[in-house]
Amino acid sequence: MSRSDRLWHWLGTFVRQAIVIVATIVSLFPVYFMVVSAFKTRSEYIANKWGLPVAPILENFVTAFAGEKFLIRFANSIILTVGSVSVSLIIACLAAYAFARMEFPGKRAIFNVLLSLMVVPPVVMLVPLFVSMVRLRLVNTYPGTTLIYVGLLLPFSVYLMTNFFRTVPREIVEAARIDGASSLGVFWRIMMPLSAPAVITLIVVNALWVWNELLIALVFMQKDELKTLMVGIAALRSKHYVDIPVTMAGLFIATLPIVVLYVFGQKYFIRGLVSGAVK
Amino acid sequence: MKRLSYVLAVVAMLVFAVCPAATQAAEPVKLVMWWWGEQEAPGAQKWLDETIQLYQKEHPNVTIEAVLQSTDSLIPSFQSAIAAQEGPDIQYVWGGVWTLEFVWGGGLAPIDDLIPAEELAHYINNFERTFEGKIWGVPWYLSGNPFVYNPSLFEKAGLDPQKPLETWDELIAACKKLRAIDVIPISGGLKDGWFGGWLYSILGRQPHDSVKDIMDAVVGKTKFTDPKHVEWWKRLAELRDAGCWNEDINSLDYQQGMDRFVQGQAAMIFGNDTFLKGWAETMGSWDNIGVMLVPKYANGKMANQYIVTAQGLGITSWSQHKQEAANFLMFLHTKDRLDAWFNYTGVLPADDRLDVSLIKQPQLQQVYQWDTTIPGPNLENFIPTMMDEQANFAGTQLLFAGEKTPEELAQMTQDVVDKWSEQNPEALENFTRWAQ
Amino acid sequence: MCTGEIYKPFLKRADTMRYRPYEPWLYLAPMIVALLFVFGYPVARLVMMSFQRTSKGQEIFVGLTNYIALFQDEVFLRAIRNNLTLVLNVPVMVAVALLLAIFLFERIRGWRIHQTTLFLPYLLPIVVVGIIFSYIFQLSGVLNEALIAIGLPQLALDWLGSPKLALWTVMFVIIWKEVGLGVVLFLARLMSVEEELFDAARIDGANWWRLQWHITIPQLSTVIEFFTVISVITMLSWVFNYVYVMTAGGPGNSTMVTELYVYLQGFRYNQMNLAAAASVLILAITGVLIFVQFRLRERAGEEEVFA
Repeated sequence: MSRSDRLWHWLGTFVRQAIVIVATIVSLFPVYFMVVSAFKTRSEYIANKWGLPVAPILENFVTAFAGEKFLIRFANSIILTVGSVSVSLIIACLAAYAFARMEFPGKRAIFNVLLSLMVVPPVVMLVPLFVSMVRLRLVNTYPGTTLIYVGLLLPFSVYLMTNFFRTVPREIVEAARIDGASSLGVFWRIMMPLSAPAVITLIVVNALWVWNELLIALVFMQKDELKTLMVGIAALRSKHYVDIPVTMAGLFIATLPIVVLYVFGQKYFIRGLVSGAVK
Repeated sequence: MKRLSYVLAVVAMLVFAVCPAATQAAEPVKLVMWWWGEQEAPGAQKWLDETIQLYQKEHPNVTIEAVLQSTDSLIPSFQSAIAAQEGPDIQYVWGGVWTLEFVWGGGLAPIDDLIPAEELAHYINNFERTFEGKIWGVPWYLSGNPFVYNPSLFEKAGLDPQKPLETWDELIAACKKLRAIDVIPISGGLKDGWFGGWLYSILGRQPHDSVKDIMDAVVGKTKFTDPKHVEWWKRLAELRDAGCWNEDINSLDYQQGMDRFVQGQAAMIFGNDTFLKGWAETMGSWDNIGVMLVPKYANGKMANQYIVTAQGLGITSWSQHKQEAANFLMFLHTKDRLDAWFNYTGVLPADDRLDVSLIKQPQLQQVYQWDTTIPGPNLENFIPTMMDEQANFAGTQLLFAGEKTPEELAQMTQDVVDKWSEQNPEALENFTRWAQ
Repeated sequence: MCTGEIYKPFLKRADTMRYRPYEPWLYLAPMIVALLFVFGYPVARLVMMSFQRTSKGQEIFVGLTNYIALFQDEVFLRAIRNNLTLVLNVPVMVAVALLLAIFLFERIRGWRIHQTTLFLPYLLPIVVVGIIFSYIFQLSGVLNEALIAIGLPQLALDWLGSPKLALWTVMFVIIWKEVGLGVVLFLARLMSVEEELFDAARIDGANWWRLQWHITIPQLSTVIEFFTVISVITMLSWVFNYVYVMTAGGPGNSTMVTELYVYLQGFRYNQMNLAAAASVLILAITGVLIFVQFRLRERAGEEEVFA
């Protein structure tokens, strides 16, 4: 390589590194801002908005915990997340099995409808859904809200599992058939055990979505003791006194489970989100 | 459907009227109440919990479940309940149009037949809930809008802390003096909208004699482009140009705007008297709080009044226990509960039986005097919500962004009202009947 | 909602497994019941409501009145315009994600850590992100303080409080949050491309640009298309939370979007029928897009099979 080539090469590397570093800083700054603010006193926040806290305090977390019934909200979010993710998983796997492994009239049409449901924004269905939920006395109940979440999670879940079930080699299924297994037997003893990676992926992606959801939780879980963490967080905005560090501490607590989950299950997160797009 | 439910409601009421005692003693009754108010009257929750406990002890067959709503979900939740014709037995409602839009939607039942007239006579501000001769809810507590100032900042700026500002010119001059010592004269936050509606109520009233002037424009008898209706936009622009407001008014939420005052960074605020006690506690002393009427720029009768509205509770049209609900609401107005309310919140209950000697702070005494001698309606409660949000909320934001002139904003208001009447022929009809 | 949607075309091979004709329906039944409840009934009800109005407690049929009213409503038109403006985000997101993914793929120093951090925003709740950015973008917020500190006070603008800027600020936040997905998608796809393709091109003496143009982008085309489609859908019908938390549609309706419009009409102004009509329009627009996407995929799918 000539000198100028080397210079260009070095410059190119430098520019790339610089661009990526800038992007990373921009990505992280709001998170950094949230974390450092959470450890500042109110007056320190006003004097020193973006620096590290000089004398970090934990009081904000105590206040945030006490004021917004965080533990209850936390528990509610967990109940809803676990409930809707597991129910939707079971229903989705059953349906995906039919889509992937069986032929029946209208299969394509049903599948297409399913796909188009993935993009329906929940806000448009809020009114009619609320009406039927009230009639069934399901407002302000875990099962009612879980049911809505299950419905909203299903299209993507069925789609993902269908794609995965299609990749299970035919030979394995046929071998089981010869052994005399019923279709349910094949499902239970062959498909499900083989699908562990896809299932984990689905759990992670769906849990993330339910945990972060605001609108449904806002309308269908109105009782104070039923509110979810996100609703509690959104309400921090309309408190009488605006205490930014306390708000940030609250946000920090609400975000922590996701970040921890992400750090430990990064592989599944990424695989899950990619799975729809990349084989 | 609606008519049918009214008939059922009437039948139910008749049944209750005939045999109230018998049904009460035997059957267990569960009342669900959706409420709001802790947000503007801190302490309300504690008081309500205590009140419910006391009531349940007195009436062992009744259980009451109170669900505190957030500001964002209060109206949406009840709108949905109306759509389903199912939900709470008791619903929290702001006065005026907020109540009546629910009435027109078929959500509330009249309370005249449930509560004796001599009891109702003690309640303050029933007129806000009156439509076609019936009363559609029970006032709970009063929420008024004093112009609040910080006397020590006034002193620093060379203003007399004892002498409230009276005229518009005095206000503008005060802004300049406060600016000179680097204090925000008036603070506010428009980003979430609500404060724009307040500004309309507070400033828009001055050229008018009564709320009827406003309602006439709403129903199309006059126009919002008439000079008297344009005036407040001009005055608001004047305050803006005189540097009276915090520059970041458009990027702050309402609460953040108030916070500037509580933090001692701003000298004045168009406040709410329900917050006074809480502010005094946060600021450490009542000495940092003074109250005055809004300085005058015009001479309509409403310019001399103190804005006050009663926040209240309605009984839903579908409730199976209307009389029991009404009994509970009457319990809120018993002497002991009224006094306890004031002690917990520092907010005045909407009832003339409060023990006035409990009011110790001169600021609150002043507010009480205004409440009882020169009460005036809150305009925001007499215009359609759509006009409030699309003209007042959006318009004040555009004014402070320097995007639109007062004349353009008046035109915008008229356009919104025209659109509203076109989209809502039925609401227009109701409004017209109400305006009479 | 979920991401990673609607990509792979429906697979056509049938299985040889034997089962009774009613069996598939047993497996499908729970899903169908749940979907009818959560989507079927509400959508049918919406369509009905959109042609009705309430008068004296009765629902009466009014034809297209509600739809006509919508198109005469300045605020609704503004909302549609804003949603379309948000679509401008998509090419930016694709370009940024592509660039970053390529750099990471070139095994830039610390690329794994960069991948982790670039993806982090995508995981955070929009509510949290919205609140944090509200404080950052306040006129007296962190960003402006920083700009003044480094001697650029003329750039310290009212990011969320000015009707001219607010939409662009919201757009920035959306890009900030969503671009990480693109990076991860593209990178994952690049990693599954056979190295020889790149090596061969390098031996042929292709420079960096030609390499990207002739190898990287064609290899990524399906993923790019996927990311584009879900981003367009996001911009048209999944931005409620951003706007709700950061600007509430203001200042002066400058950030109004169709979803917020539906919410306000239905839940604040008590005009359920107009809200229903607007909902039906949103559904129709996204429906058309999905349909187009299907057609494109089907055609592309056929080519892939024979390639």
